[in-house]
Amino acid sequence: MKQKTYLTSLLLCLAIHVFGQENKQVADSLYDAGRYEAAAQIYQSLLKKCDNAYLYYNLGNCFYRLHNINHAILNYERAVIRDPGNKDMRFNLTLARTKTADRLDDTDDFFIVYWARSVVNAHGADGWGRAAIVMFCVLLLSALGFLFLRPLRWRKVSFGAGITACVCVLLFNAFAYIQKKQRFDTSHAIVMTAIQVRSTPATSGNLLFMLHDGTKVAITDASMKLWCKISLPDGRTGWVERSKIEQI
Amino acid sequence: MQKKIVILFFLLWSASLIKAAIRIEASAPSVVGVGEQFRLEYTVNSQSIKSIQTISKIQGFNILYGPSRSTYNSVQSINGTVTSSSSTTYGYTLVATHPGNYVMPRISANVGGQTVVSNVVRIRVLSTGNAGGGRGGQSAASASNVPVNSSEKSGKISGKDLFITVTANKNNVYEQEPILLTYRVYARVNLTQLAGKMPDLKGFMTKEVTLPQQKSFSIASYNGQNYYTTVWSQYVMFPQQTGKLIIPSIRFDGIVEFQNPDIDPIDAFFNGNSGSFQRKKSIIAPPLTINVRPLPSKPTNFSGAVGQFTIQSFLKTPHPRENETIDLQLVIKGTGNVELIKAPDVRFPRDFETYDPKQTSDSKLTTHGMNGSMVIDYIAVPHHKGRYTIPSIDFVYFDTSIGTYRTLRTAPMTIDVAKGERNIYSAEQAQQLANSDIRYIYKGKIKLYHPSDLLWNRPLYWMIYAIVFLLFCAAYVILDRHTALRADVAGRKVRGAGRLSRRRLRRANQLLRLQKTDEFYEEILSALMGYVSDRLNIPVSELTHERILQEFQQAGVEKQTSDAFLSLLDRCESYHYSLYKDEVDTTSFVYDQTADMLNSLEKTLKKKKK
Repeated sequence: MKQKTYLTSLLLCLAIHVFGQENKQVADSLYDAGRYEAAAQIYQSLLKKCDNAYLYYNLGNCFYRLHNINHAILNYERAVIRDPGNKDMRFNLTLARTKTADRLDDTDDFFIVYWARSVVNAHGADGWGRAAIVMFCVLLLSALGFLFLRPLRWRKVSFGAGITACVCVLLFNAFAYIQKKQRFDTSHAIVMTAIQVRSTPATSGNLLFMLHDGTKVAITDASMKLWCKISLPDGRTGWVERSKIEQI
Repeated sequence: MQKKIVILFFLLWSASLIKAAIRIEASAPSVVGVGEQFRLEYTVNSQSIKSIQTISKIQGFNILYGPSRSTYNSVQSINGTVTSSSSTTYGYTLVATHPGNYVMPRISANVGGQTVVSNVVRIRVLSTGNAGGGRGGQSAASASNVPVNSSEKSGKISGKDLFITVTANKNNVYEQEPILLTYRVYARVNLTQLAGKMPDLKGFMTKEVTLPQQKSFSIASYNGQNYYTTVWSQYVMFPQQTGKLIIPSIRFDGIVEFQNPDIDPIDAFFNGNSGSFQRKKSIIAPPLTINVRPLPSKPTNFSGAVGQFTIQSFLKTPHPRENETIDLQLVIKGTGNVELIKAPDVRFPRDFETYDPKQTSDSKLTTHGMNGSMVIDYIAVPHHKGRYTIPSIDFVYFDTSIGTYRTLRTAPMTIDVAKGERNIYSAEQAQQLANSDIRYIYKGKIKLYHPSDLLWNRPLYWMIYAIVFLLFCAAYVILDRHTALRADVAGRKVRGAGRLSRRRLRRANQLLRLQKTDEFYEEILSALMGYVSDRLNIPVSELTHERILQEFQQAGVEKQTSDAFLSLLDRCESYHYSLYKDEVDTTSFVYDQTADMLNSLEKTLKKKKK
């Protein structure tokens, strides 16, 4: 009996998988035909079942074509945190950001920071994890070389390789940690409609400034039900109504 | 229990201390018909009335009953704040006897030692030809003084009993000037339902005024007759074309209820047959013509706005930097066609990169048109630092109140652009990016991941490390044993004999080519001797012919081979130690023989070993 239920659940999973692929193909062809709304609906229903960077990316494209820039940005952001190394996703996100009213891009960092960030974002957590395992293998191989090779030259080389591999293992695991943190980070949100940022969490609060739709903000205090505190890359902070923003 | 009463009493007493000013308020319907009963009420917001004037007669009215006295008292406690109110009402039931305008008498009262006088109430009494009785009351909607047409009995309704009028507040307007169109229903019959579509208004931008869903009828006189009347629908229209525009006639479908005089009410009650019946009636609202005048010759920078407006402009980014956006906001507030305003031009300095202005309007519909504001954001990017002046913005609109164009002008603005951090390259790049299109969707197959499906930092991930480490340990053990074997000299010699002698042969071959015969024979000899010594594990010093023969026999080498080996050995020795050395043919022959010999010996000995 137990086996039977196991079998049916397995079949169900398989069916979902197969239909999932088919639905995606249908949605892709709908996108080609220019029926972006229908395609978006299928992608959204697929996303309820599974969580895939490409689905978010395709959904973002549909919204972009429908001139719904804020939803496009939201979905591109979701795609990028799931597959940080994908160039197409990053490109479309940066392109969509240029269509928003507030252009608060945080790219004017010091170039080393920018460079380091782009290195960390070259792969996702699993990509870095795999690289770390490869480097661990290299580390052990060079340890063997150091222990058993006779000529001094070869021993020197394997010692150097071992030290480098050791550093790489630690570094790549650190990158993987950062990526994993980014992946499940819910502290950022996209502004969905133009909002007024206030000094206190109430409509009577002083109006600090306006934010337009499509802007990415960091949520710094989410303890209240209807309001949350946000901060911008340029350091400005304030309170906004929770319903007007959507978490990535 | 007693305590509670005391507290309640205390509360009442304290509440009465904070009493509002004492007033007498008279109330009565504003319009009544002759013969209609209605109530006139005087309300005093206090209960401590010492004396009050009573009315015994009113000119033009008969007092049917009164005064009747009723009191009202309430104590409320909300969040600890206690409020109390009490009032006394003196009511009279009156019936009007003559048409005309009347002022109800004012009464005075002595309340708590204070003398107060009531307010003035005016009543208009309408004349009526047929003073029907029945549904008396003070509500105008159910007033019975509206004459019931004699034809009602037959269920026929003439155009005089039920009709709809169409009126516009202005019949002669300018293009874009709002017009308020009103459909008003007049009825002398009991209208229970009415439905009609919106007129098909061509050449107008139309917005419907939201009226309460529940229509309340009032009484009004039209062409000397009294009707129940209500505003059915209202539209605010902005003419988009000029000339004589016609608002077409539209049809309303109504249902009218009649009392059936032929049915005996008692009979109807017992037979379940109501004393009334319903008739459908369609009403045609007449068409209306509106003369729309074109606007006088339009100035070139006319914004399309018609109405009354004010403008205001300010910089949202007061301290801009190089290559960063400047947001200049222009707010146009007023009444008119707010939504249709075109953004006036802003002449930014030539160096600035400009974008299309972003327009957002926020307006509410009023009977005078749209009232609200239009916010226009002008976005520009300065590329070089310095002081710039943005010239004044001209907003030209048509003022309907004076019938001419007016120009509103903002003050010119000076901005100081500071040196920016972002270089021009990124701005250009951003521009290039903005002009490109998004990349195509991903069409390949996808893995249906779940959010927690990351491999990193799960037990399996660290298990891989452990497995790799175990493999390392295994490799270490194997290699360690290998080194130990290498350390076993004798064992290594046995296995490496063939290789060592081969290396010696190779050296001999080199010497042969160099014509160094002496060294050649030495090498060949050591190759042969070394091979036997290593292979059979006998020190070279003990290698005599007899010993070699003996050992070869033990190792199972054929007699022939061992003899050949020994003769070769002898030959080499003799050549090596004689002076006769210059024959190349001999040396190469010896070399070949030695190579063959070592090969065959190695084969035999290896086989034997196995």
